[in-house]
Amino acid sequence: MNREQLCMLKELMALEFTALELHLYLDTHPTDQRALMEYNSVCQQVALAKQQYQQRYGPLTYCEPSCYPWQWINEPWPWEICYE
Amino acid sequence: MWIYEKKLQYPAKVGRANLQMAKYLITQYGGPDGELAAALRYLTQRYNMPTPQAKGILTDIGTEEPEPLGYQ
Amino acid sequence: MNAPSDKMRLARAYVPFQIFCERLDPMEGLMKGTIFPELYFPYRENKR
Repeated sequence: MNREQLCMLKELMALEFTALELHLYLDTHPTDQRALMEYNSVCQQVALAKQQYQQRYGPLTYCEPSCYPWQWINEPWPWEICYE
Repeated sequence: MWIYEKKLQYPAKVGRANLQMAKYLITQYGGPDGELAAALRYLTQRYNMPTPQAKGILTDIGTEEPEPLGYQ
Repeated sequence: MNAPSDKMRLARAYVPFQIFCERLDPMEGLMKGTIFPELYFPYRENKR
């Protein structure tokens, strides 16, 4: 995995983790407007980062389009990546 | 329903094989007090929760609990 | 740490209600395992 792909992947992982944390917080604080605003803004960033990553490197999950040849089976798989 | 995503939540670094550590991890994951059992408990308990907040949080942590499987 | 008070009864479990103040930036949050600074309690080998 080249430097640029790794960089995009890590950025996406970080954004998704932030969205997940805010999601869990909002479960028990559904009327916290500031947290909700930040959540919505992070979700937009996640969508953008995901779209850009998948356009270049192929699907991250199901129901996502792929270039030819079928990119889903491209290595590395998540457990084969050196994140350093 | 389980949907695979081709990425991990955390950038785990695998150093070397360690049998003892592997045993601990398998127990933590699948053992009687492991994450799998916990996930099932959360997902079952949520049906009896009185508030929307509690149903939501149990659904979400019960969904997150099996995440470590991806690292094994 | 809080000492038991009149309002806190024995043999009851209490979890203070979290209030959202600031959050860490996404990459720092990912590496620390939480985006909430008030929930960051790293293990230390020697002292606590």
